[in-house]
Amino acid sequence: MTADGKYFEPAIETLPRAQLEALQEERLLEILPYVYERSRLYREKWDAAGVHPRDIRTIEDFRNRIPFLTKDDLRDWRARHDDYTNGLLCVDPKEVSIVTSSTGSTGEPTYFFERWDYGWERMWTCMARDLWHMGIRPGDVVIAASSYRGPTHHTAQLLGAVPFFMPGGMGNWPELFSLFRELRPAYMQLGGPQVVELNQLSDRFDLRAEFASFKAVSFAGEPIGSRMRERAVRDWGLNFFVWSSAGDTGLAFECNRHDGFHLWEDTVLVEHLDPGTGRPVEDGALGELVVTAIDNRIAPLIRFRAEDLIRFDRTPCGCGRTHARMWLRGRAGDELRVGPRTVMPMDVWSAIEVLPETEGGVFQIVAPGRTLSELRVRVGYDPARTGDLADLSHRVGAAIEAATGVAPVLEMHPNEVLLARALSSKLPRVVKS
Amino acid sequence: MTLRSSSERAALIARAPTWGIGTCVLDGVRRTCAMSWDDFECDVRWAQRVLVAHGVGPGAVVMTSSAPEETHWFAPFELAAIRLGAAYAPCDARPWDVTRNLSYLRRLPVKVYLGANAVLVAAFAAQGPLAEIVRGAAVLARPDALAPLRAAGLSPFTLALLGPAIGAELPARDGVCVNAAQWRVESVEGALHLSTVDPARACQVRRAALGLRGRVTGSAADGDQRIALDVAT
Repeated sequence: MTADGKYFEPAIETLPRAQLEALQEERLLEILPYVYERSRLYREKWDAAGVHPRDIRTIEDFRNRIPFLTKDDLRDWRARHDDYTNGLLCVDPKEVSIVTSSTGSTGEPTYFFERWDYGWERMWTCMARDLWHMGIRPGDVVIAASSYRGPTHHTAQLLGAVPFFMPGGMGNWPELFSLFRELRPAYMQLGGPQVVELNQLSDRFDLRAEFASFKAVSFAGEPIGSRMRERAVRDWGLNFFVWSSAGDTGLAFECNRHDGFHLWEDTVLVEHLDPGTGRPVEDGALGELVVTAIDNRIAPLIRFRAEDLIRFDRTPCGCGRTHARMWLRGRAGDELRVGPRTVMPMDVWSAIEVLPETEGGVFQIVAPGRTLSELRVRVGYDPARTGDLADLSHRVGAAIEAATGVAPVLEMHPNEVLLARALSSKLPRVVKS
Repeated sequence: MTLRSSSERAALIARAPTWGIGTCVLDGVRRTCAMSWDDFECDVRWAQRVLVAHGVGPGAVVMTSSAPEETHWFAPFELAAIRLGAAYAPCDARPWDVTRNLSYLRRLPVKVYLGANAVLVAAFAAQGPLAEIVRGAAVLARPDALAPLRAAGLSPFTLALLGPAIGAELPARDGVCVNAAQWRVESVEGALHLSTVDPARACQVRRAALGLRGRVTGSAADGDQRIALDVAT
């Protein structure tokens, strides 16, 4: 395979599994003493567990001896030390190029630190392999920008493409379509609220024509319902790539087989564990994603419990890459107990997206706690497709009850009303009030 | 390291002549405005001068509140901060990102805060006294945020998007500084107009109306223009 082919770094992307695992072990054994010497949190935590990096000679030793790192550990450190670096920083703060963070939708944001060693932001350098695989090439116009997660336009620039800082915002699509015709962009990223908007516009615009210049469109921020994805692919003609975070160590994109997110295992060591026991589960079974950033010398996460529930597979992919894939199934702790029933947000999602008026999958479960006496759900509908709201409410309630076994208490709102509560590309699916 | 390999692989690819394409409103119409890599480098050097004037150096944090479509105005400050040994902390300027904005202001050693707007300032004020939140950072605020910041007893500096250009007030408070090597601002009956000065600049405009009112107060010792915006106080 040449460098102009489907792989940006063919030697690494198709590295035989045994060599990939040997590379992981080499990098892991380098980084453990590095962080122990530099990170106050890891030193404290590992000392308390009675383990020293010199005790770790194999990945197996690592799995058996090194303690997990949890979000509660980070919060606890921050509270005890009033330290915004969470004790993770392994370099002088003066070496940090950029500080980014989680949104803070469920509490204080968690901070991430990067150093631009090669003039590019690390997080978005990770994405170069994926955009190349999607067909992005020098000279293409790529819709990207600097955002609260750093300069996503770096990915375009390092591929020789040209970033376009598209004027965003909801309700702006007709103007954007005009810009699409002028600049002929090849790639953009969509979030759930934007897809819902496009769905509502699909009766008035030929989206297949408007997106004709695009080689690929990616989607992230939250899961996408199967019906909405099918609509984007079949009706709008989008080559649609879903992606997710690699447990806050990097990014994980679908390949052209669209069957799972590839984790770049030369940058991250993945464990796939029973959330209750912390023991490994078989490939293919549901387990919690636990990650170790083996390619990050600034503030690496080591055995970090990402709280993502995944299915995981190390077998080679049909795309030719050898790096493992994961399928995101939800978040640990997403489960809600309503009486004797367990309800997952995806259960509600799959129930409402089958109805034309609510196929956008716009909803929020109102859950002050994890154990509920009733299932209260705010459901968004497309006013243009809705006649009798009482009838729709009845059908939505029946669909949710069929999917969850619980008759919900519904609040019906036009999609726009609920989308106004979105956090950037993400509508919080479980809210306290 | 892998990202070194990705960076080395990328270095084999010739970069596009265009650094990026933004949009701005000129003469009342939204239009695209491209930037070459040389344009970007000019803007980074000018942004460095602004940040140095406000005291940014190694170990400082430069925080911004901006929208993705404002990248062509704010990215020069990003690289300028990094070249000065400071860290860059970006937030979104829209209301849904208030939590992150507040967290950065309260926890990071922010030396300069660029891009505050009226909506964010109102949200900050609902959380406590603004002076305690800002903690002494130099606030370069958009025009709509100046009055509420002043009402709270702060002394903000003006940050203004001027079509494809950007202007920033310096500690001397002698007006909004505009990079005279690239742009010239004129006031025509109180309406500000912009022209490109550098013939090599990718975005060429001639006396384009900015949709802002104000006057040109002159040039300073640094050679840059100074303008005074008509802003409600």
